[in-house]
Amino acid sequence: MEVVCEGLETKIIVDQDLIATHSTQIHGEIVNALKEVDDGTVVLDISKTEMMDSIGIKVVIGLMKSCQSKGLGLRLDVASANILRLFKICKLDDLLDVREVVAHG
Amino acid sequence: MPTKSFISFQLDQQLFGVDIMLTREINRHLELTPVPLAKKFVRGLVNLRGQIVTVLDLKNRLGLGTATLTDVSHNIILKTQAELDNMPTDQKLEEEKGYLQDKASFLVDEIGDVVTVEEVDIEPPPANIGAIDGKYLSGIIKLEGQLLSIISVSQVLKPDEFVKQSVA
Amino acid sequence: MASFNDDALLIEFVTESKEHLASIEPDLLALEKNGRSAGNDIINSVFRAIHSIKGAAGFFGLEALKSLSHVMESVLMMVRDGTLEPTSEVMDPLLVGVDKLNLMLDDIGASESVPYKDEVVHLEALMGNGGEAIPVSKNPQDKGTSQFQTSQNTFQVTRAALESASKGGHRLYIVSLVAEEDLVPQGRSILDMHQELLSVGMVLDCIFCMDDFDSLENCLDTTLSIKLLCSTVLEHDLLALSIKVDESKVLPMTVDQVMAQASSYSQTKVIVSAAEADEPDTETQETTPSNTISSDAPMPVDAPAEKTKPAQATAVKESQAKPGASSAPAHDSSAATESIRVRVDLLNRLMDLAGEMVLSRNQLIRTVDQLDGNFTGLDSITQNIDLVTSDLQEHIMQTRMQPVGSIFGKFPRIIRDMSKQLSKEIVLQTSGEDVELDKTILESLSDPLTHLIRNCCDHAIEMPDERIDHGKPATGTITLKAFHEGGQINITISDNGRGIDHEKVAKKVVSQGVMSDAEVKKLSTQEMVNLIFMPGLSTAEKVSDISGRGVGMDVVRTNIEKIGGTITIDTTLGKGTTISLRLPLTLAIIPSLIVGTCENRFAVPQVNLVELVCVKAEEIATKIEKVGTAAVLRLRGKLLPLVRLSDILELERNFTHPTSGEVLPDRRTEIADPRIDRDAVPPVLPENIDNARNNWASDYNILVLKVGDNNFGLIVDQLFDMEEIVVKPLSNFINTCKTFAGATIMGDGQVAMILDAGGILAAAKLSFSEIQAEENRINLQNNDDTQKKSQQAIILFNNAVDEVFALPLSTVLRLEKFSSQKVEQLGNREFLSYQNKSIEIFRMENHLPVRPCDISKEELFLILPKAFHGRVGIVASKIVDTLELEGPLDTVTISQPGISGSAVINDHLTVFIDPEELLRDYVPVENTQPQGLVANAY
Repeated sequence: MEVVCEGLETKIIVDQDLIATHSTQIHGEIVNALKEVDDGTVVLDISKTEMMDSIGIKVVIGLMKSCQSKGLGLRLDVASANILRLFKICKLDDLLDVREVVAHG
Repeated sequence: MPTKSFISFQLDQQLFGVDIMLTREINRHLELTPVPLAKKFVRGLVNLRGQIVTVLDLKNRLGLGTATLTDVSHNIILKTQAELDNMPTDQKLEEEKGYLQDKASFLVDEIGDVVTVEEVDIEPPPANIGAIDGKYLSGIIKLEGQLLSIISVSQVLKPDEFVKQSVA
Repeated sequence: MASFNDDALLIEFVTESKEHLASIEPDLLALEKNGRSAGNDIINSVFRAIHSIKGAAGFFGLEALKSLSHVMESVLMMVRDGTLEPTSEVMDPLLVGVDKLNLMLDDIGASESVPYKDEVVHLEALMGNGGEAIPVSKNPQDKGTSQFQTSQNTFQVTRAALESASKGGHRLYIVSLVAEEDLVPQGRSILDMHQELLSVGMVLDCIFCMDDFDSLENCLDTTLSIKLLCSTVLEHDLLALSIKVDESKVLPMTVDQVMAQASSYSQTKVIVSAAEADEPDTETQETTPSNTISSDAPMPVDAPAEKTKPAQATAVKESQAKPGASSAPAHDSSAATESIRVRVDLLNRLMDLAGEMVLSRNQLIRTVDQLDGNFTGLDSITQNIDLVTSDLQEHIMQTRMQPVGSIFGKFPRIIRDMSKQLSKEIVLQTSGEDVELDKTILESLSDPLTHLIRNCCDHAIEMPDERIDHGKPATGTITLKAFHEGGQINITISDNGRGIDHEKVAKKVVSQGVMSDAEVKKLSTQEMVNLIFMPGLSTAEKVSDISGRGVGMDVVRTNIEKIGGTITIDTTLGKGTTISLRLPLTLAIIPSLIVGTCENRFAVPQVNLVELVCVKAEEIATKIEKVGTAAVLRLRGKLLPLVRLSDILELERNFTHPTSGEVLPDRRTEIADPRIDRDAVPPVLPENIDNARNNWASDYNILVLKVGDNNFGLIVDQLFDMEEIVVKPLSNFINTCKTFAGATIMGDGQVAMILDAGGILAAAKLSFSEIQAEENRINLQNNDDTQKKSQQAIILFNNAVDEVFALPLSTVLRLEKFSSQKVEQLGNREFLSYQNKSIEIFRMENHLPVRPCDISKEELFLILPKAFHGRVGIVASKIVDTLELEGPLDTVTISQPGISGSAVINDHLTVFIDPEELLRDYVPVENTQPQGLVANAY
């Protein structure tokens, strides 16, 4: 995982699938990353992520709530068609700024 | 010169008129249902396209006896206050506000023409015309060889009990 | 800031805020009852409602409203965020706050002067340490929040989409899943589940319950709930099976239920934006042209010049019904119904027009029937018009209907407050909230129902200790039910409290001097119970804070009868009471009997009509007598005072003036005037009636009408059909005449007056006490004087084969057939179980010198006398006959207590039983219980 600050955007790049097996680790890393952010927009870059299960959804919702209470903006960069479809079905794309990006290498 | 129009009608061979702005429509007398215990002034109720209209005997009110129903009897159906309120406001009406809440009509012997006169030709009513108390009239118009008495609708409708007090 | 001159806006605000408050109360109660499990939807909806009020109050500069709602909002925020538990202690001040807000809204001009500091203090106390920690005070109008607040708590679907998805045998379901239970263990993802559902049907929407989440830190410990709205042809259980979830997770839904839970996206937005705005936003401004006019003002009617002012969307509170609120599972709040506000007078006008259309249709059909010649297609066109017209009328009628739920809704709060105040434990169960009633009826039902509910709480339900002592659960239950039956609406209020002690009621009546001891003794148990309807009677010994001030049941009954309803009481001492109200569906259309007198037709509402009695011309002299100044008809042992409709209406009867021939209607009053003194010339004298018989060779048609407790007979000339009539109010010219309840247009287009039974009774000036006294005197005489003269219906039966006995049919409740093997012995007493009740068997041979019952018979009969309410029955081996007996009884041949006399009937000596006397010493088993059960209800 990698955290990149670009002006007002804090990009958290996840390089694994957001599924139960890695969840605790990724969750912890995101929590730590978020601690450093005080304003601007958080970008969760999951363009390298291929799969996301319910744990992944929980992380996304949790992140959304935390950003909300901290007054931060939130954006998701997604490449996987499956994840985009999931977001579409559950209308998370209505609530969140979800951007379709081309997968990094 | 401002003018006013009146619907003329006959009661007991006398000519009367009602301001055309106060009338809604004129009907041949419809099938009357008498209202027991009501004042004689109330001749009954008629069904006017699903609405109940109280038919008032104008002749009786003016003290001219009781109207007899004939083939030429007509009902002059009056506008209610709500209907008057919906009219363009620049129309000057002499009648006071709030005079008629429910649908009512005047039963008259025979209906005549619409008479249009200049306002200045309307004269104040005398204390009485024959047997008729002048308070029921708002003016008179001298026509060729005839006198047209203008009915003061609000005076005529003044609600002194229309139903008999319960028999004492 | 707006000024107070924006009256229309302000009225709109008051209306809307009242609606908000009305929805908040049940939600708060649900929260209190179910705690957090009531669901976030409820908390959010309460929160939103208060927030809207606060926002708008701020806009209008209503500081008091704003400050109070602000504190309430803060408390709710803590509840929502989980910092506060929605306990009773929290709800109390919130509910009080709701009341205060209501009070302020009642007189918005004076709202600033309503004291509310106490409420604020109480609410602030809840927030406890550092109320400043409340997020709302930090930045309530955080720009970011609105983005998140629209979070998915409700489905976003349109009714049209639902309707099309539920067509063709498709059913709607909500599948509620918890990822950790239903997906993760099976290794399924949400997408998998979605796919599985797609393979069996259609997924209309899918939402997460995001409100369960509060932060990233805790998100892994939070369970993820998912709700899928789908449609499929599968049955409930099959759907559960095919997607491999527990059946309980699949909820069948109707379109309405889903709509109640759903919110269309734009509406959600509106709520949020309106709520968030401190400045008037576009949504508020759009409603400003609404011009509040009195809805009483008559509508301008079909004149060509008619121009209704545009957008007179008056603040009429009609449209806020919550359809199917109760049946929707879990969260029934956030009802987003597709409704608009319509002025009531417009609806009334539509109803008039529909009625007119029905008449025109009837004329059309008649004309078409009479047509000669062949007009191709005319029949089918007529038929179509026929159908459409009926449909139209029915639907327009429905626009005035509202669910009773709208008044049931306020009772949970009343029960809650009262049980606290009285330290009783009471639960309320309601059903049939979606039963609909005409809004006029509904409005006038509210007060009587509230009174009855209060009575239940106050008097009927015992203190918990007392209940336990009597073997009842400590918690009392009040059940409020609404249901349709026979074209009427029934509403029952049942409690499992102490019941009404009829003897106590009777004692009270006597002690208040309303009736004499002797009079009361003659009453049946039910009649004694019914004494609670007497004006000014209250049996509650202590005048409590809540009810029992001596006004009550009589007012309730008057109000119920005013809207054409009836009220009955069924009570069992120690077990509870059921009060049943029967109400017409609508006041606007009432079934009525059309009657004629003196060439006039009148409508008599069926609710007032007990029965029709025809007295044959030749019987008039014998059946009608005179008591004081009134003519009375002896009807089944009771005296029925008679009045003639033509007398009441002062219509001249043509037969009284045969010389003048046809009397013109306009002469009537003149001729009738000399008869003004009614006392000098009583309206109906037997002599008059005799004259009438001579001149007018016809029978008497008597309508027995009921007004309160009194029945009287109204004589009319002709009886026509029953008709469903539309009631129209009387014009100002005639509305002071209490004899008429209104006017109507009949099927043939003619106007008829509707008679008001109460008004007629008042005009007739009948003295019921005089008649009652006479009736009592006659009855007493009959009791003393055993020479019973009047004709009576009797039932003949055997006990031993050849002995014939007789009972007056009027004393018999019912007959039961039973098998002798079913008899159970208890000591030396015998019982029969019948529908969970035991009937004691009474054998005449044990009490009278008669031969024993024919024991060879398998099948026996029980004759249940009225006097003991079916608790005891007299054995009969055979029912011989029922017949009318004339002439006096022989009281000499056989004389003995319990026997009223004998007569020879069909060549048999027949012994007449007096059941009350015979069973005088009988003590029902139930009554042997300790007297501790004695109630002082109502």
